[in-house]
Formats: sequence, structure tokens, C-alpha cells
Amino acid sequence: CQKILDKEPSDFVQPENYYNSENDLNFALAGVYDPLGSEYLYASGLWFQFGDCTDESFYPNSSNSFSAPMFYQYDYTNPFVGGLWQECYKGIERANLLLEHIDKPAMDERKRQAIAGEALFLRAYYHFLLVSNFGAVPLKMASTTNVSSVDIPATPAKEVYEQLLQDMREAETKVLKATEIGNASHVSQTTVQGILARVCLYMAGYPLKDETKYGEALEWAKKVVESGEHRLLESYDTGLTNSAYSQIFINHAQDKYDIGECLWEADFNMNEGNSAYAEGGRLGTYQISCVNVDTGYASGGIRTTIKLYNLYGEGDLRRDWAITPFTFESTQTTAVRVPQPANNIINRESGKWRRYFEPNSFIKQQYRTGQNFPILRYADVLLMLAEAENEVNGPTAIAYEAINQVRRRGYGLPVQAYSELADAAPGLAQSDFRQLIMDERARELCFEALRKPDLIRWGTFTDVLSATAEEIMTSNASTTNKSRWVLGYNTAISSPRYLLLPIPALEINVNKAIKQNPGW
Amino acid sequence: QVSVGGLVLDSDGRPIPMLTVQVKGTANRVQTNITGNFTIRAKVGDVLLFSGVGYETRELTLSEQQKYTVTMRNKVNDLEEVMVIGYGTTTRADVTGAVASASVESMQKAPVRSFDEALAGRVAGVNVSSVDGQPGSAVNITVRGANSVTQDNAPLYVIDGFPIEDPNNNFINPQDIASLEVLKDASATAIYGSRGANGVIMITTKRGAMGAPTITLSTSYGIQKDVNRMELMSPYEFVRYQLERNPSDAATIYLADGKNLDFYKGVPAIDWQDQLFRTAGMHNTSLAIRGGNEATKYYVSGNVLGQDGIMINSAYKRYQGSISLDQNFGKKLKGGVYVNYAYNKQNGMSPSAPASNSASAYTLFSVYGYRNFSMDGSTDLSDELFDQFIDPTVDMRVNPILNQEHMLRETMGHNTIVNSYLTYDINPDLRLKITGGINTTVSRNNQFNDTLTVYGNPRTLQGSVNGVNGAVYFSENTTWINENTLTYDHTFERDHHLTIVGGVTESGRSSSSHGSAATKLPNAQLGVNGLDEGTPQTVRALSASWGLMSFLGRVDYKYRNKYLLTLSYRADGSSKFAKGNRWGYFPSGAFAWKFNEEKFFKNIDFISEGKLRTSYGLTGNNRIGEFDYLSVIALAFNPQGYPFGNGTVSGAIPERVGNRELKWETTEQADIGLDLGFFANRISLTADIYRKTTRDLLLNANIPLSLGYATANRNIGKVRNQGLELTLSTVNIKHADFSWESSFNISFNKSEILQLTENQEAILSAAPFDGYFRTIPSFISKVGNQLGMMYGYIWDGLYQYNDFDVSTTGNYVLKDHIPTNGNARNAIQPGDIKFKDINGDLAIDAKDYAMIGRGLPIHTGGFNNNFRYKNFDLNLFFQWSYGNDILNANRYIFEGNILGRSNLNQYASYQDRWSPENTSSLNHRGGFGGAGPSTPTGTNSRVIEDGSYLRLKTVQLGYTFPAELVQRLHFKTLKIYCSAQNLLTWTSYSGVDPEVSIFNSVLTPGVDYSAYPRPKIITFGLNLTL
Repeated sequence: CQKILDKEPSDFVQPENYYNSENDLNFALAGVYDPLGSEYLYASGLWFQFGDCTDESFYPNSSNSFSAPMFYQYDYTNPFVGGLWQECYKGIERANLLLEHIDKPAMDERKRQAIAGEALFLRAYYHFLLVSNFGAVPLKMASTTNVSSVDIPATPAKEVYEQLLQDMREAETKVLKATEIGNASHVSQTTVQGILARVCLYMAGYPLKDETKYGEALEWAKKVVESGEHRLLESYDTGLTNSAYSQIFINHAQDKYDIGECLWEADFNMNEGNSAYAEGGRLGTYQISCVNVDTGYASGGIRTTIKLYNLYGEGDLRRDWAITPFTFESTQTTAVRVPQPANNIINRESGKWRRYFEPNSFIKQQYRTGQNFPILRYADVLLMLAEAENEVNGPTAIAYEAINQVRRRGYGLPVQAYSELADAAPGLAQSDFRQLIMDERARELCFEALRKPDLIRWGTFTDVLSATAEEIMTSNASTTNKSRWVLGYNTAISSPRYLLLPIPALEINVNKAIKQNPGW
Repeated sequence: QVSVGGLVLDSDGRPIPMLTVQVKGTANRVQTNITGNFTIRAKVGDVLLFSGVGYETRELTLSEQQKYTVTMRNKVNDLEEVMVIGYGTTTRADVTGAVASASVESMQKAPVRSFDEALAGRVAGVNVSSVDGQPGSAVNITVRGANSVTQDNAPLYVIDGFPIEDPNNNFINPQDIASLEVLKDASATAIYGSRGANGVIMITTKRGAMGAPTITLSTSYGIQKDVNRMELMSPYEFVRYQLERNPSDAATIYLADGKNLDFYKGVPAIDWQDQLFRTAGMHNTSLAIRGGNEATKYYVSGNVLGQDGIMINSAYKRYQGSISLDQNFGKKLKGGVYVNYAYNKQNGMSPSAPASNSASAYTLFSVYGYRNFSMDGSTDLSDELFDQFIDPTVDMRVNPILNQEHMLRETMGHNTIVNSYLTYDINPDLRLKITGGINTTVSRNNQFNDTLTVYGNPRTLQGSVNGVNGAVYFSENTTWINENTLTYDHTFERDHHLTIVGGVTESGRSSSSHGSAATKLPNAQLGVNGLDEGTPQTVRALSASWGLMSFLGRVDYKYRNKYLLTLSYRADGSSKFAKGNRWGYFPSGAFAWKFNEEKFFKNIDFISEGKLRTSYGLTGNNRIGEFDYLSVIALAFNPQGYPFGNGTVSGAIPERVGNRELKWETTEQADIGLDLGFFANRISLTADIYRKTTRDLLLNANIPLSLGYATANRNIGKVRNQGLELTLSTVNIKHADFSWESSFNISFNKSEILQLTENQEAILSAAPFDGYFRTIPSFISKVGNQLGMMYGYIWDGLYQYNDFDVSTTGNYVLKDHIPTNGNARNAIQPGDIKFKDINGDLAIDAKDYAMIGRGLPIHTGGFNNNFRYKNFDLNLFFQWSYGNDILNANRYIFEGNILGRSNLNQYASYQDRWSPENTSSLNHRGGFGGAGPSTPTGTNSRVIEDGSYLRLKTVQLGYTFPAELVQRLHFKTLKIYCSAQNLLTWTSYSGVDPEVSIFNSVLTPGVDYSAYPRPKIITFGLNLTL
């Protein structure tokens, strides 16, 4: 009789029956990575919805009541606010389950440790995204077993940082080297080191202001450089483009890895020929507006600021790549380039990722692309090294060399050779050098989802956004456009609450132990 | 004395066998034979007395005539009427619980496909609501209000003793149904334990009868037509509106080539509604043969039904046959079998269930909203799929006729039911019954979108990705059951009557679904058979199974036919829960007192029945997924995989977190009922009040996202339903030639949410007819309130000039003390919509939401009338729903264009809209982006309307041919009739039909958007007996 009641599920497995082989662990690891590619993280959320509206760029299509983070019109019910939170915790839960079962299969120990290291790192990275965007959040170190305890207090931001730092340090000893992996989709040892540098810089800045962390940031950045595994990309396909800098992003469009330059990418893929297996992001689709699908559909949601345009020096090849000097006059069947008038700077669009470089063999959907998003580039590591060195030891030769390498490549010059044109002015005071770093990060890393957190950690968010609003109001844009475009800036500086995202509705409605962030 | 003969018929003209015919005042009596005929020796002037169970006694004085035809009237409210209850039968007089019989005979007069379509308003306490009027569309039945907030509230169906949780009622031919009872209170339903809480519908099919074979043929043919259409703007009004809304763009389109607005006065309008809707045919033919002898009885029937939809390319078809056989093996052993097979096919795209979450994807969006004239002034737009001025990547508006004609959506199902039983009389008081049954459904679903559909054309958003595409899905499910019961029935010392039933039952179900979809099909002409040539997409592979094992018992004790006691108990073990929580126990008790049997009542003649009933008990609901208590690891490429090194690796992710503490939802119900009969039950009244409290709701509850999951299945929350039911049956007029009988019922139910997930005060639910409304709540189910309340802004008219200051440049600027409407202050203009600022912060946002309507009715009911004049009979059945509101989302779109779609036609009612010359209009202005908030931020009460209605649901006028005439043609009986369904409706609802609920659930009742209109049906038919 009991047989009738002992039914086993026939179309799914339970966690306790899974994780039996190396393959199972690899599939589970893919699940841990998966949230990186979600809409709310690197498919668009982090660099578009929460990345637009800084001193680099703004969203030009705002209407007054449209609820959207791109111009700071959101509250705790906004789907992108909830989505970022939810996707990070999904990743954390998946990592916890994998770590809890990591020792189950018999397999090569080094491979096991690499998987464990990646899961550990990603759990920490998701916590990092949470704590840097939301402040105090629940720290989750084990998988969910009880759905009845729903009052979960937030862990203070400092404790969350300490724990994720510890996890990342441990992961650093387990994961494989970039050259062993051979692509930028898996987390390598130098990726962990580079992200550790980033985490330490965030801890050193606002709001924790733990300035002792500059030293640790410096160590981690140095480790990346000293590993010898990475370099700035200096070569490019002359048939396609005129600079190594642009080649980095053309590689993204063509799904080519260059692990020398790009340590870690959020991986998207549209080259399977079968859209059922495609993982599309939106990189490219918010850049140069174009309705022609063959050229590559894009809606132009990221316009550059006059400030960014003017930051570039004469001869800096990065400018006309990051900021498109032309527009497409396009129809369903045609797309013709029309140069932008010289005085028309505020109408220029971000052109860092360009869809017309996507090979024709890829699936060219309107709103989805296979372009990978660079989460960590070597140029960023060099700039972090320069920043940390400047904070710890002042503008030393080490700091100068790091920033100059990045600048020389920007001007299309050999990175190792002195250049009068490209090199930073010698003999800067520490504070001037700090300003140089801030500007150089905008020049090199614009639109790469780093600007808003940078401004926040430097404590300059409100001042910089006020200045940008001022700049828009004094620009040559139409009165209507001015009032539309400054809305986001005026909102962002109207209250200090915008330094953190609100705790999402779906959390706070059921979790009574968590408190809403101040001002929300 | 001479030999007198005759034929005895029932009120439907069918012969009555075994009826007693007696010469009054003598012992001379005979019985009618199987064909209803009798012969008796009597003389002129004698009085013949006709009597039989279930019929009113009739007298007939003999004349010279030697052949007579006598029509017997059914005795209304016969106390000896048998009622089917769980694991047994009882009589109306002896029933202790709240059990109602539906009048199957009246229901069969409705020209409908399945019995559930005719059930609305027939039985007090049974609420029937259907999604819309599409042939085959779902009918939702709830008994005494919804217990469960997120789980299924459908009752358990028991067909010939076999419980089925989710039958497709279209598989049963309504003509094969002999009786239909509804078990409502805990005493009646607790014997079905963990599946009894939602009420039980007992269906008994017709079986064989002793006598020579009787062949019954009933056939009807009818037509269906939509009842209401929406009046739309003329081409002139359309262009005038576009010019007002967006002057510059509209001028480029409509005033090109020197045309002016007046030009459009002469442009002929295309009536898309007229092209989409049609007068559709419906035919329904059943043939049944019934007969048998002492040992063997049989009933064989077949049915063919075809119903074209009133919308083009939609239809329903059924071929069905059944056989039942009962056989005696000697005196003690008896057995039987029942086999029913049905094939049905439903086709047609549902206008209210598109595959996209855009409001423009719904069929009627294009019908109402598509430009209704040709730019070149001709009347033909039939070849073009798109309006050239609409961007097909953002708006799914297409030529509705081409799209509807080309979109293939069809489901073909085969259902087989095999039930069998054996009974063995161990001794005269003790009977063993063993039953076994299998119910299998296999179905196939085809979908295909070619280039002339919105999902397959390369210019649309979906078509650009998928190209020509299609899918085929198969599903299969089988439920088996075995039940073994012992029944003991004995009367001790005349006064004590005891019936005991005990039993063991076990049942199980397995189901699976497989299939796949493919895109970019190169050869559209191959249809779904060309799927192999395309790009393979998602492959579906699902399977699950459950098992249920139960012990049950019931004791009925009757003392002196005055006091009746029923106690029942069931223990259910279900595989749907983890070990330790598998068994649930469901006791109940009922007591009834027939007070009119008491001595002190014997003198009160006019009261013929008086019974007070009371019951209390626990029942359960186990309607959750087979393995919802377990955590799931799901493995797939998409969406959870990750493209490592440009090659996608499947992701294994925890898709659901389990909950091993999961158990039954338990409903505790108390009921007090009163049955009264007056004047030999010429008037009878049944009243019941009940209160039921459901606890440990099986709730797919929100849990903090920080747990890694959005929801988990939990037993949490409490809901109460209480109500009153009244049924009054009367024989109003009773003469030999003319009679009028009527039956009236009304039920009130009120729900209250007592508790939800801890910390959760309300469940907010969306009416997601468009992406924008996906995140905006339209309903709130709040602790302390009723389920399914509508929720949003209170509409407060329009802004007028005096709400504004005039700036120096002549612009209107909203005065500082006047609240906004969700738009920025500087964007609001006179003529814009206004909402009530509840919290007084001068800004309209989610804090200003209020309860703005109720989705569930205050009361529902029905009023059935049977008239007879000589050989004519007339049935009039009214049905109503009172107090429920409808969220008429069509008006958002077509009376103000809330989503701001370009070049969208509007209802004619929007011709009256605010303008500087027409400031008293209630419709907001048509100006660009200014009508309301340019993006909706709340549901608003402007579109919430009273959905109460009274409907003349069924009418049948019949004529039974005189027996003499019919017999000359060698028939036994012949009746012709004309039936009509949905003939008249009285309602103040402005939409097409108030009986609508496109997102039908307890949380989201009463939403109307692009619903399939319910047709008016008129059929002509005949019933013939051979």
C-alpha cells in the first residue's frame, strides 16, 4: 500500500540527488555565473539603467512620468531595483548550494578547487554588488533550508565587505591562471586579484572610508601586473579600424577574447546559429541609433556629456571611438553615415560598442546582441594601481608609469616608450594627480559601469552631477531638451538617498527585520 | 366491460413504463409496459387512476373512446426522490447534509455543449463563471465561495461514483446525464476528505432499463450570433481625433496631397467587426438505445456536435459515444461496466489570450483600433497585413481578418473513461461493492504562424526573430481508481434504522507532456509538418504522478423517522506531501430533526415537510503540484546556462525551494438548514446558512528575495466564507390543460481574508493585459476584507480652466494647491484626467490607491419556469449576478487611448471628449500625451463599471405531438421545439457582455479586455422516440 504514496519525481532531480560528477559541478557553476548575464546586471541594468546619467553620459528620451532609473525616476518598487537585488541573491544561493556539495563527486582535486574558488569568488562578487549598491544587506553564507523564517536582518556594510574580502582572498588561492583558462568568461587568479583591488578601493572610499585599504589595493593591483599574464592591447586590424583601443571593443562585437586586455567579461553569445541556445545582452543596442537591422539596430540611449568630450586631449584616439562623430540616417533597408557638425557635441552618442562589427553569421536581433561586457580590463588595473600608489606613496614613478601606459595606448603610441604628447605632466602634486586619475578613468573606462560607483566612493557624486546639470543648461540644446535632460541630475542631487538604492519592495514587504535605506 | 387501451407519457412526451393504472374503487389494476402502453377492462363512466413514484396522481373518466393518451406531471419536490451522495444514496426526506439536486430536465433544454454551461443559476450556492464566450472556453465553478487564495477552487467531480479532479466536461454529452447533485456542506463532502473542501458535484449517467429497446433521437440545428458590437469612430471622426492628438504627424499622413478634414466625410468606413464576426451554425445530434431484461440492461448512446464560432476560424467539434451494461449473475452477484469515448477538437486563437504581453497583441485591439478606411478611398484593405503608419516592431496591430484567418491554434483530445463495478450481497443487509476505473486523455496541440500573422511576419518584433514558426505539443494523462466498500443496512425493532458504510480506496494519476517548437520554417505551406526543416526551439518534456490512498466510513442512524444522525470520517494519505505530513483526517457529523413528524405537528395540515438540519466537519484541499514539497534542480541551456568561451554550457539551478512541512489546506464548515414543504409540497423552501473557515492555506507565498527565491509553497493564511442560500419551488398553477411551475434560488456569499503570509497585509494582483499593467496592481486581497477587490485611483473628473493659473506667455499652469494626476505639474493641461488625492500630498502615486470595486458578486441566482398548455410547453430561465464590478480595460484603450498609440481608432463614445468648446464632457481631451498620465501608474475607477446583470438565459418552446398521430407514424413520441440561449440581458454594463472574466481567478475576477463575445443561440430541434 505504501508504494502508492512513495512517488518519486520523474522529470526533475532534487539537490540531494545532484552534484554527482564533475559535469554536474560544471553545470551548477554555469548556474552561478548565469545572473551576470541577466537584464538587471550586465545585460543592461548595471551599465545602462543604473549607469547612465553621470558626468559621462545621459539618457536623452526622458518624459516626465516614465518610471526609469536612467534619469533617477524610480522608487523601491522599480523592477530594476528589485531585479538587481534578486539576481545577486539567486547567484549567492546557487553558489552556496554548489559549495555545500563540492566534495561529493570523485574528481581531479585541482579542478574541484578551481570550481570551488570560482563559486566562492562569485558569491563574494554578488555580495559586493549588493553592498556597494544597497549598503547593509543580509549576508548569506548557506543555502536556504527553511522557508518559514522570513525575518532576516541586514548585516552592516562593513561586515559584508570584510566577509566578501575574506572569501575573495581564499578564492584567489584556488582558481586557475588566466593563461590556463584561455578565455575571459571564467574567473582567473588575476581577475580575483584585480577585483580585490577594486573592492579595497571601494572600502577605502565613501562610505566606509577605511583608508588602510589603499595599501591592500596596491598589493593586489601589483600582483596582477607582476603575474605577467596581461598587457594592454596594442595591435589592431588595420582593415577595420585605426586604433588598438577601438580593437578591444570590436573584439567584443566579434566575440573574440583577448585575455591580455580583458581579464573578465560578462559573456553573451549570439553566434550559435540557433537562437534557442543564444544568450543575448543589450550591449550595442543602446549605442549609435540605427533602425536598420543589418547594420545593427540601436536606440541611442546613451548621449555623451560635453565634459567627457572635452576631457580628451588633441590626438587622443579614444575620443572619436567612445563618442560617435557621426549619426546613421537609416531606414529598414539602408543606413548612411552622416558626420556630426563640430558644434553639436551634446547630441553625440556613445559609440564604444558598435553593432556593424558583428559578423553577418551571428544572429542579429533587434534588441539582443552577443557582445561581451568587460567587467575588468587591464587598463582599469593599471589605473587602480596608479590611484592606490598615489594615495599610499604619492605620485611616484610607479604611479606615473601605470597611468602613462594607458594614456600612450590611447594616443596610439607604444605603451612602454616615453611620449611627450601622451604622458601626463610631470611633477604633479598628490591632489592634482588624484584629479588626473579621476579624469583618466572617465577617458579610458567611460560607459563601463564604473563611473557612478567611482563618483560615490570619491565623495564627489553630488558636486559632479550638479556641474553636469549646469553644463546641460548652458549648452546649445533646445529649451525642451534641456528641461528633459536635467531632470535626472536634479533628482539625483535632490537628496542624499540616491547614493544608495532602496531596499526593494518584494524584500521589505515580507521581511520585517530589514530597514529601508534612509530617505526612501 | 370493454378493453380500454392507452399510452402514458411524461411531461417531455416520453413513455412511462411500470406506472399503475387502476379502476377507481376496485382492485382492478394493471401496469404500463416498457412502451408506456396499457390495456385494462373497464366500462364507460369508470374512473381510471394513474399513479407512480415521482408523478402526480391523475384521474380520467372513461368515455366511449377506447384509446387514450395520458400525460403525467412530474411530482415536484418529491420526498421519495432518490439523491446520490458520496458512497450511497438517500432520499430527499432523509438527507441530513446540504445536498442540492439540479433539475437535469430543465438544464437539458439549454442548447449548449456541456452541462456546466447550463449550470449557472440552477443551484443555490454554486457560482458558475466563464472566461468568455469562445466555444470550449473554460467554465469555472465554485461552491459556496472560494476557499483557496492561490490554488484551484474547482469542486471535485464524481461521475458514477468515480472521483475526478479535473474533468473536461465537454467529454460528457449532457443528454446522457440522469441526475446531478451538488454536495455543499461538510457532512456531505467530508467523505471525500482531502478533496472535499471545494464541494462535490455528483453526476450520474443514464443506465439501461427493463423492456423492449427504446430508441431516442434528439437533434437540433441552430444559429449563433454576437449580441452587441461596439460603435466606433467614422473615418472623419478618426482623422479629426488624430489631428487633435498629434497635429503635425497626423497632418503629414492624413492631410497630404491637399486633402482636408472634410474629405474624410466621404470616405467609406470598413466595418472590421462585421468581417470578423459571423452568424455561425451549430448542430447537435444524439441517438440512444435503452433496454434490457431481468438479467441484462443496457444503454448505448452516441453524439455528434459541431459548433462554429461566431468569430471566423474558431470552432468546436465533438464525437462521443458511450455504452453501459448491467448484468445480474444469479441472485447475489451483479456487475456492470460503463465506457465513454469522446473526441473533441477546438480551434481558433483566443482573442483574450495572446502570446505577448502587449495590449496590441489581443485580437480585438486590431478589430476596434485598426484604421477603418483605405487611404485611397476604396473599401478594401484586405490584402495588407499592416497599416503603413504603424511601426510593427512596437505595435502588434495588424489586419485582424488576415491574422485571424492565418493563425492556427487547435487542440484535439481523445478521452476514454472505463468504469466497472461488482456487487455481492453477502446477506440481505450486507453488500460488498468493488469498483475499478480508468480515465485517460490524450491530446495534441498545434500552433502555426505564417507570414500573414503577427507572430510570423518578419516585420514584427516576434516575427523578426522567429520567422514562420510553429509548435506541436502532446499530452497524456491517466487516472486510475479502485474502491472497495461494505454497506450494512438494517432496521431494528421498527424504529431504529442503521446504515453503515466502510471502505478502502486507492487511486493514482500519471501525466506527461512532450513536444517542441521550431522557428524560421522555410516552407510555410507544410504547416506544422514542416517543423523538422526549421530551427529547433524549446523542447517540452514534463511528467508527474501522484497516489492517494484512503479509508472511509459513515454511519447513518434514523430513529422513528424523526431524528437522523450522520457521522462520517475519512483518512487520506497523499504522495503530494512529505513523509510525516502525508495523512490527513477529516471527520464530520450532522443531525436532522423532522419536526413535522412530531405529534404536535400532525394537525397542521398545510405543512407537509419540516426538517431542521445542522452539520459540522472538516474537509481538505490538496490541489497543489505533485512534488511541490521538494526542491528542484533544473538543468537547461536557456535561460540559466552560461556561454563559457563562446559555447553555451547548461546551467543547473535550484528552480524551487521545497518545503517538507507542507500539508493539507483544511476547511472547517458549519451549516444550519431548514427544509419546509407546504400543501403537499406544492410549495417547498430550503434555506441554509453556513460559515466555513479555511486555514493553512496552500499559498505560493512571497518570501524575501534574499533567500534566493521569490516564492515558496507554504501553509499560511486563513480565509472565511459565510453565506445564505434560499431555494423556493412552487407549483403556481395546476389545471388539466395548463400548469406553471417555478423554482427560484438565490445565494449570498461573503469572503473575508483573516490572515496571509506573516507580515503580509495584502496580496496585490495585476490585470496584465499590457506590459505597463503587469506591475501596476489592479486588485487587492487584504486582510480583513473580501477577496478580489479592485484597487487603484479614484477618478475625479477632469481638470478645468479654473484649476490653472495663466502664465504671462499664455500657458496654463496648475495651481499649487491642486493635486497632480501622476504627470509632472507643468505637463498637466485643462481637460486632463483627474484623480482623488487621498493622502493630500498634492501628488498622485501608489499612496493614493483605494478600493474601487468588488470583483465578486453580492448575490447570484436563478429563476426557472415551466409552463404547459395542452401539448405546448414553455421553459423560461432567468439568471443573474448582482453587485460585482467589471474592470472594462477596453475603455482604457478605446475611450482615451491611455497607452498613447498612434493612429488608433476609438469608440464612438470618445467623440464626446473635453475640448475648449466642450468642457462639460467626462472624457478627457484627446491631446498628445496629455490625456492622462502618459504612462499609467495606477488602475483607475473610470473604467470600473457595475457588472450586475439579469439574463433571460434559456427559453424553450416545445410541442409534443398527440400520441394517436405519432403512433400512426410508428413512433412512440415526437416533440419539436425551439430553444434559445442568452436571449435578453438587462445590464448597465457598457461593454459587450457582463459575463466575463478573462484572467479568471479569485484574485483577479471580472476583467474584460478583448473577450470573445458570448453568442445568442437559437436552435430548432426534435426529440423522437422509437
